Amino acid sequence: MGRSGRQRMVIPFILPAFILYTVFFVYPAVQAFWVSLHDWSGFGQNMVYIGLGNYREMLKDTIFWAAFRRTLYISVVGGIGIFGLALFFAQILQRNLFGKRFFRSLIFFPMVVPGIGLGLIWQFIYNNDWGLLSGFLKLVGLKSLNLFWLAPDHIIQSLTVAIIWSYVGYYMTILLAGIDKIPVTYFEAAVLDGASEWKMFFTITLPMIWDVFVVALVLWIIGSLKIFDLIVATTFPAPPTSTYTLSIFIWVQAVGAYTPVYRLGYATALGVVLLLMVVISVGFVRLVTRREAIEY
Amino acid sequence: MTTQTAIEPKKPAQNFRRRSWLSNIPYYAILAVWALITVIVFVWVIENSFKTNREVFKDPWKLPATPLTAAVANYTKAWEVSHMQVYFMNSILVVLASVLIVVAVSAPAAYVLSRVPFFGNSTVTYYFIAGMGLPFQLILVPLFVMLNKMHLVDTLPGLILVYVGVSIPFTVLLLTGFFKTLPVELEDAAAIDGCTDFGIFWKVMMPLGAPGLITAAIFNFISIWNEYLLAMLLINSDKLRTLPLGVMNIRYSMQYTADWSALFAAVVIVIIPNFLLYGLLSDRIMSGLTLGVSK
Repeated sequence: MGRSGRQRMVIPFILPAFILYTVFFVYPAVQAFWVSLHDWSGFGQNMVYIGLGNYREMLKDTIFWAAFRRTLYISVVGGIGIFGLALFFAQILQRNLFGKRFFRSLIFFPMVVPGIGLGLIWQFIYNNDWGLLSGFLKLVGLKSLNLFWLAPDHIIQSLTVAIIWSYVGYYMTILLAGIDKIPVTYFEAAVLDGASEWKMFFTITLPMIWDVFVVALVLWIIGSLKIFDLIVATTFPAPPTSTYTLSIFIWVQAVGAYTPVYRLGYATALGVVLLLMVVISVGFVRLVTRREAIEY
Repeated sequence: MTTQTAIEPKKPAQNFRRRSWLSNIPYYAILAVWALITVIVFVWVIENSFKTNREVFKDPWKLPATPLTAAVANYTKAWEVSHMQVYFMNSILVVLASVLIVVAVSAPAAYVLSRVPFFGNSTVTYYFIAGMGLPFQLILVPLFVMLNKMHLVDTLPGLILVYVGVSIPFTVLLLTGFFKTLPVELEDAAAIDGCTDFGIFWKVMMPLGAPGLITAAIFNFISIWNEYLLAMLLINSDKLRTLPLGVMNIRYSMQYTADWSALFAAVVIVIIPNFLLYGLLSDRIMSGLTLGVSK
């Protein structure tokens, strides 16, 4: 490793990526904090410094709090659904089932479909009149269960189901990769000792994939808080305020879903809150899930 | 099939990996239900693009009566009348250029970060990777203002540069993870043979790292092809729209035309390239997914 001449490569090799990343991503993100301290009603207008005014307004904004709760709902309820199913599927698929690759690919597939496509598909599915779900309920004679799936009363649950279906394959694949790395001998020994499936899952599988599990959880939190296109497309046109999540609310405040709003300072302050939510919840998860790594 | 799901095997199998076919039946049943739902959803979407508008509004379980004529009408409408061909070319251009640039700048950076020990290495690595936690919603307003000053709003080069910038964190993470798995011995051997440092990177690391670079390219292809929020912020002219914007535009105008079957055709058109990519390369996508994640 004594090739100290390589130090000369460091700057020219890193610089292009560093500049592009800094200029087009980090710089606007840093600037966002400054913008969030202003009242700014349009790109042609002047910014007026109001200190923490936007954040104070947020505390009293009922739409913001409702959006905040819905965002958490998707993150928590969707997360429970996704990780419950992902662990379950990964647990099934770890046996070298015939057709393992087929099932894995199929469950993963929605992940590669554009969010806009998924959203529109779910809008079609949830169409109360001619949609797939209503059609299915009519077919099996449960017409009475047919609801207005995208009405304000049900929309957040409907969206969460759509989100679980779309994302479960991604987390299943990550967990499955972790499970497949566990030496088979561990399970063989456990089977010889007469351990049940459940016991093996909690005493071997879960502890040994813990690191992977935590990474997957962090990825989900980051991802779930900013889900946008799927929700926009499902609720198109112009989602009612009663269905906003934080990411939608930010968009509406920045440019308006239908009619221009242009509350640029407020929208950016909401973006800062979204970032804080990411940082705090990732920190929280890392703290709660901290555990000594198991080497094998 | 389904009647047998209740039978749960009580005895633990002799060999964990080689359990009997019969004991797997309940698991197959559960997987089959999930798989069936997924298949039905996509088949239904494709099927509806083969129906006339009137048929779409009727029974969803009825097969299309005139699939060919309806399909020709729907896809022509989406492709030509609704400008999907223009959006498609824009998307191809934006995605290819962005992917090429992002891999070209991230590969050398990831190589240095994973191989050359220098002062501040881990700080720079963290700096790059931290971007994965930044929500796009945060940068909307400042980004628009900045690009406006640079006269890059509503241009494809502007969109490409932004896509490159926001894709770097993930790409650097993936590639540093990948380069770390490659053996150091070959580089050392090349160095002893008198290969220059740049030569080692170019002639040894790049060919060895090709699978990683391809994986990074596929992932970026899919995520940029699907991207909607930033495109919506930056692109205004119809002739510059990318596919997700175009599809939403069709959805928007549909409020007046109510032409659902053409919208189904448009959704199928957006999905097809990713579907083909996925069909050909799903193993690589699956293994690449865990590259950046596992240790």
